Order: sequence, then structure tokens, then C-alpha cells
Amino acid sequence: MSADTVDPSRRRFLNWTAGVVGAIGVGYAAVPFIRSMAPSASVEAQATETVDLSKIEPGQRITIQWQGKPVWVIRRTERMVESLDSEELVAQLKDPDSGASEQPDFAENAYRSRDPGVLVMVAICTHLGCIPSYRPEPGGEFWSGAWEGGFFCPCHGSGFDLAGRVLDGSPAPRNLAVPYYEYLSDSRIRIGKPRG
Amino acid sequence: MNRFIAWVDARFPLTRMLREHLTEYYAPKNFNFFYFFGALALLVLVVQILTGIWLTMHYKPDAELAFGSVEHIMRNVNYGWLIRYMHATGASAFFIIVYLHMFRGLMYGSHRPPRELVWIVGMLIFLVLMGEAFMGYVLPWGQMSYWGAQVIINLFTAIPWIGPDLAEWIRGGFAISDPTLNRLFAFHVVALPIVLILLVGVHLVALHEVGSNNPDGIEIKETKDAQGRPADGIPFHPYYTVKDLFGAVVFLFVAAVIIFYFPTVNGLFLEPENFEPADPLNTPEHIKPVWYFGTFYAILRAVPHKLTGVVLMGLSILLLFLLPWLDRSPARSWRYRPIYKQMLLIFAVSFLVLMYLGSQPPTATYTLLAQVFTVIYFAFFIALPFVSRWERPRPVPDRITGKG
Amino acid sequence: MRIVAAAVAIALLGLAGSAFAAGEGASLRSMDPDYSKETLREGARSFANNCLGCHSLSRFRYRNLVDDLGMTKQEVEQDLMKGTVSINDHMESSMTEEQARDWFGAAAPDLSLVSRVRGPSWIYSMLLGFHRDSDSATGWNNRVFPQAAMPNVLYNLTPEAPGYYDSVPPPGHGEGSGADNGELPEVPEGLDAEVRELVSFLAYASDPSVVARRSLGPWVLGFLALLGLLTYLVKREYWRDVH
Repeated sequence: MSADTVDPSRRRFLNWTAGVVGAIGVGYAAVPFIRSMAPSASVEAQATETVDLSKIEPGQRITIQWQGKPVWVIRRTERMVESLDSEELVAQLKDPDSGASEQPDFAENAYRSRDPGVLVMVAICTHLGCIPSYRPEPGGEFWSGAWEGGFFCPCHGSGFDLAGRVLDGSPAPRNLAVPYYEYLSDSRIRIGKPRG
Repeated sequence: MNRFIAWVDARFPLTRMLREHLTEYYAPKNFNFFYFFGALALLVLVVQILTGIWLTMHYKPDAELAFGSVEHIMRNVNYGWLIRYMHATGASAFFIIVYLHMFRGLMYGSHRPPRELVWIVGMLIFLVLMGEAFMGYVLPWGQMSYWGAQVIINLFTAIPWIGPDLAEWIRGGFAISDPTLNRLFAFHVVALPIVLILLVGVHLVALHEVGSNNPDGIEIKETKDAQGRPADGIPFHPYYTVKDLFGAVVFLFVAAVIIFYFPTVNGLFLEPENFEPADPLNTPEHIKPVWYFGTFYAILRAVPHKLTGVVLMGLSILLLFLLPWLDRSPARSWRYRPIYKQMLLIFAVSFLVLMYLGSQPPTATYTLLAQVFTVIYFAFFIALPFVSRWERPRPVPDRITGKG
Repeated sequence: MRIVAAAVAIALLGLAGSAFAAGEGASLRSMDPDYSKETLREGARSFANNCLGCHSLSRFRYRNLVDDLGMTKQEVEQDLMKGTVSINDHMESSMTEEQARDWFGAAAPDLSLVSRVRGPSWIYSMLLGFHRDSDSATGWNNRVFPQAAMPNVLYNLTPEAPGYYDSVPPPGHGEGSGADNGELPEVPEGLDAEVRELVSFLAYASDPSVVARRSLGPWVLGFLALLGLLTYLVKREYWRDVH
């Protein structure tokens, strides 16, 4: 061990350089492993769901699965659309302008949709995640006030109108969520934003 | 920091272990190229475990889905191709490294007393590794996976009386099928890796108990310096840690060239036939094992009798276990044993030729060649006890000679 | 020691060479795929025009053409996707298996992994291996793949096609095609280029990672070379102590 050839500062410098470069390498090597756990191309291919509106009767609701969640598509009749404008109903709403609720910009209106005749909505109660039932006809014993038609969650008794707006007296805090969707043609909509 | 380490030390021998295994583990200073492969094997083990865990996140051990899920990994999963190619290249690299590591042991007599247990445990690691590799090769469920499994599991039918029932029990079905794939998956990803890690731990503890051998095959502990340390030894850390780190980077460079530019190595690491989904109704024209099993497969095929072939193949591996006792020379390293050196080289050549023949179709010429080299392979083990007794080694020095 | 290293190297080389068994017997024209994006894009178009009518690439997504080859979404949708819904879909042929059996007597195989299994040279030779055979149902037979149910789709690029010599000057000598004297018939340039693009594309579609591998590879190797140099310097520095 001859001390004359050993330069401690050179040794320290080399150790640090190799150490830092090595650490960068380990960091980059971790990237593929982390990225591989993100949604794969086959999952991303399911980011959207296309619905043919011509197969839905007026007043009918269909339920589809989009990104693993239940989503309703409803062709609203004229009566249903008109009921949403009633001042009596609006007075009972917790969030009539949807300011606190989750929806794309185009659905931040009274109908919560692009086109008043078609409602697209995530069927998950904003209270604790049950699926509400569809009660389109006015009247019924289950609701304390006057029922104008809408959705009723049997788990904890939340009520929503036909635009998914939550009624006063419900434990649910916000309106039902509206997913992003767009029209591919007059009769076909695509729910979700395509990835990639 | 020091107080924390003291706290740990009072409860766990941290500092003591670091001293015993790294900073005060004295290794001979004349390690050469062949001494990289132990550390490299450890590196590859870690890489295989990591990439393996990540592959199981996407792989489906189901006869209907397995093949598609591997293609899913190759095409849909982000960087799935990289992880899969790393795992496949790692498998072949493991065998290259382990074969060179074992050959190093035979060259310098690292298996000789007092290191018999190091060798025995190492051989057990090799056995488990072969099982691990075979089962892993079945998982992609391509044609070679399927028919390879068929051939290997049918070896058990050679056992008299219980053979056919045993093979059925191993398959869990009348033929290689979904249950077989499912259980091979369980062994490949859970059971064997645990055994492998434990054995590697034992291998290292046993090695550090007796100390490393060296190219001269002499004991460095017998000559101590003024401080009572081996005069020809240097602390493993930092000297061999920095050296092995450099070796590891060189290895990674070579592996990266393969992974990024020649991932199938011309059908050697990943065979073309295995990109065809398993078809129980169609045998590929030429079934061959992956290259690293070629030697043992060639011995199996060289014998025109089923049970004898299987027994000889088993012996070709089991005899390696006995080498510490078959070799009776007073010297360890081949440097001082010219005849042993020739014998070992001939053995290595027969090993490689058989490996090549194992990948070839069994034509008459090739079968004859395989028989000749099988005889040479076994002749090594038969001759060794006598030749090693009879050969007078050249004088062995007391201190290491310094040349690498 | 050097002898051993050499023996190992030779043995490995031998293994690597031998692992590629030629197979079927007919001699193959060798071809290496060209993985340049330009060629692959042309190959993808050619595949959609000439092959997709019958053959699917059921493991390959249109999206890869955008992500890997730099085609625009519009190009892919307009030029390649015929009747499919989404860019995320796989390249599936619209011909059903029943139709294939009715029209050709056999299902058209999926080509997702054909280059992995057969190798580019086989596909190249096969596509150039067609000759007339009045006994077969399609009127064609194949030198490399005898009794193939597939007709010569690229017929229009062969000298036999009517009007071929309107665009290409006729060769000055020899008969060339058809002669089965062991020599491989000469291939017209246009046909050769088309087939090379197609085979390159099929090779890429068998393992789309080839594009990512080739773009990432130099960085990884460069980094490891740098790290190798640094660790070598560290090693040399410490080993100054050892005499």
C-alpha cells in the first residue's frame, strides 16, 4: 500500500462521477417497469364506447359499460325535457347550475347534455356509489315530495331529476356525473375521449 | 447515523456481516476473467426475478390465453417487449454464465476439499436452474413449449412400473394441457425461485466460510502478513466490488446489444417455431430443446434404449456432483497438472459438440457422432480417479504467482 | 485459456448458424427486411391493397402505424382502414373463414407472426415463387409453397400481365420466367421493390418493437459505454493499491 500513488481527491471525484451516472442509469432502467404498469394499448382501445341512438325508443333507457362503469343513454321525450324547466322543480335542486358537479363544459346546463333529447350519464350515485333506479313516470310513494320523474337511489334514498340533478333532502352531495361524449353522426355517439 | 447503526448492531449483526462478507472478506488478488461469472450470475438472478415479477403482471397461465397474453406483452403493454426480451435473454445468459462459472471451478480445482459443499450446493443451484428454465420455456405455450414439455415429461414414462402413472400425475391430465401449464407456472414463479434464492444464500455462506480459491489453487490463508491477514488477499470491498461492477456493465452492454438488435439470436434464444401457438394435433418437424439443454438431450438420444438413455442422461449430470471425490490429485489447479488440463479440455469439447448435436436432427451420422462424444464425456469421469492419482503435478508454489 | 475461449466462440457460432434450418427444401432467395419508416409505410399501404382482402393481422393495431411509423391518423383512416371502426382496432380482413373456404378451399392464415415463424426470406421467395399451373383451382402454383390455395396477387407486376411492357422496356435477351432448370427466374424491378416493401412490413408487424428498439438502442449502448468507462477508471484507481 504505497500512499504516493493514491490521490484521495481523484478517487473521490471518480467515485462520485461513476455513482451519479450509475444512479441515473438505475433511474432510467426503472422507467420501463413503471410505465409497463400504466394502461396498455388494449385497455386504451376500450377508452371509448360507441352507441347507436336509432335503436333507442323515446323515453327508453339503455345501460352500457364504459371504462368499466355503468352508463345510461336515455332518449328523453318532449314531456321529460319540459319538466326540467319547471320552476317548481328547479327550486328543489341542490345544485341547479351544476357548478359543483362533474360534467364536460357542454353539459353544464339545465339539460346536462349536448342535445336536450339525449341524456348520457354515469349511473353511479354521488353519495356512496350505488346504481340508482330509473323512475321516469311522475308520482310514487318512495319520495317525500312530488316526484316529477327521475332517478332514485334505493341504497340511501337519494333522488335525482331527469337530468341527474340531485333533489333537496337527498344524502347525495352532487348531481350525477356526465361523461365526455360526441356525435359521430346524427344517430351515433362516442362516449369517452379516444386515447393515442 | 452512527447511533442508529449502533442501535441496529445491538439487535442485528449488520456491521459484523458487512465486515465478514465484504470489507474484511479477503479474496486472493489474482482473480482473472473467469472470476467475473459468480457476481454476474447473481446480477442475472436479480434481473430475472425483477423482469419475471413484471411479466406475471400481464401473463395469463391458461392454455387458451397464454400465447395471446405473451403477444399482448410484446405489443400492447408499454415496454412489455423490453421486459420480455430481457427475461428471455437473461435465461440464456444465465446458462452461459453458469457453465463458465462451473468450468472455472474445474479448471482451478475450486470444487476440491475443503470446498466440496460449495460445489454440491452450486450443483443443486444448477439443477433447480434447469428446472426453472424448462418450466419457463413452456409458459409462452408455443409449439416448442408444448412439444418440449411433452418430450421432457414423457421421460418419466421410462421408469419401470410406475412411469406412465407418474407422468400422468405430473401432467395432471391425459396429455400436456391446461392443468400442466398452470402447475408449471406455479413452480416457475413461486416454488423454484424461493429454492433458488435460498440455495444461492447457502452457496455464498459456504464459500465465505472456507474462502475463495484462486487460479493457482493454493490456500492464501496459509501465508499471513504482520497484521495476521492473508498476505496474498485483498478485501473484497472495495477491490472486487469495483472490479465486478465494471464486469457487470460490460455484461449489460453485451446483453443490450442482443436485446435491442438480435433479440432472438437467429432462433437460438427464442425459436421461430415457438411463435406458433401450441397445437396438440401437430408435431413440428424437428423438436429440439433450447441450446443450453443440448448436451444432455444429445446423450439421451445417443442411446437406442429408452430407459438406458434416460439413466445415462441423469448420470451425465449426477456424476458432476461426485467430482470433488473423483479427483484425487494433491494439486488443485490445472496450471500444475498438464494431463488433467488436456483431459478437462477434451471434456469441455465433448460437452460443446454434444450441445451442438442436441440441436441437430438425428441423422445416422449425427447419432454416431453423439455416441462417440457421449463415450468421451463419460470417459472423463471414469479416468479421473486413476489419472489424478497417477499424474505427478508440477511443483505448486507457496504464494500466488501473480499472473492472471 | 485462449483455446477454450475460441472453442466456445466457434461452438456458439456454429449453433447460431445451424439453428436456422432452411426447412421445406426449395432453395430460398435471401432477403433482409428494411426497417426504414418510409419502406414500412409503403409496405403497410401495399398490405392493405393487396393482402388485407383475405389475410388479417389480427394482433396488429392500426394505431401502431401512427405511433411507430409516423403516419397521420387521417392517412390511416382514409387509405388503409376499410370499414373498420377505430384506429385502435386490429387489422382484420373482412373476408370470413366460410367465404375463404368457398372461394379458395382453405382459410387464409393470419399473418401477425408469419415472419417470426417462416422468416422474411421464405415470404419473399414465396411471393416471387408463383408459376402457372392449369391443374390447380386458381390456375397458379408455388415453387416454395406447393399446392398453395393463394393465387398470384401481384400478377399485374409480372411480365405476363397484359400491358406490362407498355410501362417497362422489354429485356434484351433470354426468356427468363417459367424455365425450371434449377436457376431462379429473374425478377422484374417493380415487382421486386413491391415485394420487399411488403415483406419488410410483415417482418415489422411480427415484432413492432423493432422500431422502438432501433431508436432506443443507441442511447442505451452509449450510456452503458460511458458507465463502463467510468467504472473502469474507478476500478483502475482502486487497484493502484494492489501490488
